[in-house]
Amino acid sequence: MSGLTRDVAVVGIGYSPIGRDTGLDPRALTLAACHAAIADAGLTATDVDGIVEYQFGQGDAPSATATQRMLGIPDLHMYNDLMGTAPSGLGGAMDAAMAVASGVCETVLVYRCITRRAGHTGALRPAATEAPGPAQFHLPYGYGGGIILAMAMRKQRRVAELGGSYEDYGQIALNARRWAARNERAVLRQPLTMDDYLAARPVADPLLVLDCDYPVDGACAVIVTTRERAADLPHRPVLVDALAYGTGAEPDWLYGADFLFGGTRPCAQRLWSRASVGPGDVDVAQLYDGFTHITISWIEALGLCGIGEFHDWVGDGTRIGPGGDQPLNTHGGQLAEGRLHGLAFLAEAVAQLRGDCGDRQVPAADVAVVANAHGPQSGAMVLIGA
Amino acid sequence: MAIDRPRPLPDEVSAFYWEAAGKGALAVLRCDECRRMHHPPDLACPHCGATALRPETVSGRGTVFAATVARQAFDRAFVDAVPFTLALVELDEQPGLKVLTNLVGTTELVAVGTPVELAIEPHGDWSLPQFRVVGS
Repeated sequence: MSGLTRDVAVVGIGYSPIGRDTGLDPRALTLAACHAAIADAGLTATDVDGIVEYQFGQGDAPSATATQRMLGIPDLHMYNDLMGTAPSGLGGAMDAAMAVASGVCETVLVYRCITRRAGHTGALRPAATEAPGPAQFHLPYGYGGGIILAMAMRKQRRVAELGGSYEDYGQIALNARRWAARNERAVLRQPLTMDDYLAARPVADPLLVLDCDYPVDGACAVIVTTRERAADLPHRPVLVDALAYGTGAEPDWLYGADFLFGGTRPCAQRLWSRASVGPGDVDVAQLYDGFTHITISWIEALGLCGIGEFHDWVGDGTRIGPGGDQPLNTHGGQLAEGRLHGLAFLAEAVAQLRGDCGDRQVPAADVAVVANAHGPQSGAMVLIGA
Repeated sequence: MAIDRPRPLPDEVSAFYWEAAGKGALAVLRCDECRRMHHPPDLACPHCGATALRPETVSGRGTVFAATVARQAFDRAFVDAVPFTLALVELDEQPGLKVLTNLVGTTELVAVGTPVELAIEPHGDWSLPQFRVVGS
């Protein structure tokens, strides 16, 4: 045995200011979140020996080594800039956990910074005159906006194939606002009714603007280290019990073999096969909501309910809200806290397992499941309060 | 809708596809090993990894696998075209074999399972495979 396995904990979380227009440079946002996470962990920047970040490569975030420079860290044992094909911001934390478990690193800083000014994929792009490469099969048809149109088609297909209703999607949107009302960081805190949801502006039928997350400027950061080191730090250690990736066959947002679920199902199966707990043990679930379809997919893929059973399971939404038996996205998700792009689901899970969530604290929260993205870039993690 | 559509740039792998479209046909790659077809065309079969592939003309008949009606454009060339429909069409030849298309002649959200057929759209010296609802 090489011994490339150590227990891993998440020991620090931090946020920059979050807003529709903070006026802050991506470097300033990143630095604010990283300083906050390092301080939260009770560490100093020179304790960090690894940095991983996730970006779209549109100048929306400084690179790992650019951040290293701002933090005055003399050398890194591991660094990685993840592209927009990874499991969103959680992908950075998954890399970090593996680096620490293997002994390559002792303490890894992970961040995702995103700004509206850098351009988001839903924006109107200049008229293309030519469509090379994979785009030759998409752009001539007006297919753009990242995965917006693919998600619109999934919403139609899901209800046709598995049943349920478009109101099921609304339950995810309404739930986000219920929790966001208890989160001072959240950008959208006013309550939403089902009538509000159904009357929302259609983006691409049947997808409504309230099925899409809310673009903001902001950054989120976390610190990952060994369980051994975590024992000497200020907060209750939150252990990474299991992590898993998934892509599914013929991985592609449009043409993948499992159109409705993508890689979420194999990812979830792999996750539970490695975890010391099961879906029935989950106290709090933080499941990606870049689009409402993604959250519903993860709920079913992870076995919180059966495939196609979400409609009956969610009911009027009480069970996923404050006081419910399966609290979901307790920070308001990206639909309401704002689109921090994945990592904030992990940060919120850590805060819940520490018992630090104030008005929105889930009682006796010991087990959390976190999942990011969908389709060919699925990733998930089980966390347990030590 | 008169749209100045972005012009597809054929490459070594996709040249057959656009040549077939120019002749009014839809063609996809079939694997010599596992005999399954795939789209969009790639250098190797996504089902088995074999690299011996050859183009095959298909019937151009299929059903709507999933559809949407775009209420906003994502490319300026399509600003005046909204609302317009996009769909994944599952070809009759093989379950799960899907192509992206506009559904011409409708701005409605066409139901999953609706039969559709090929409707080649000429653009001067190139042609775009499109689909329309059968009987429309």
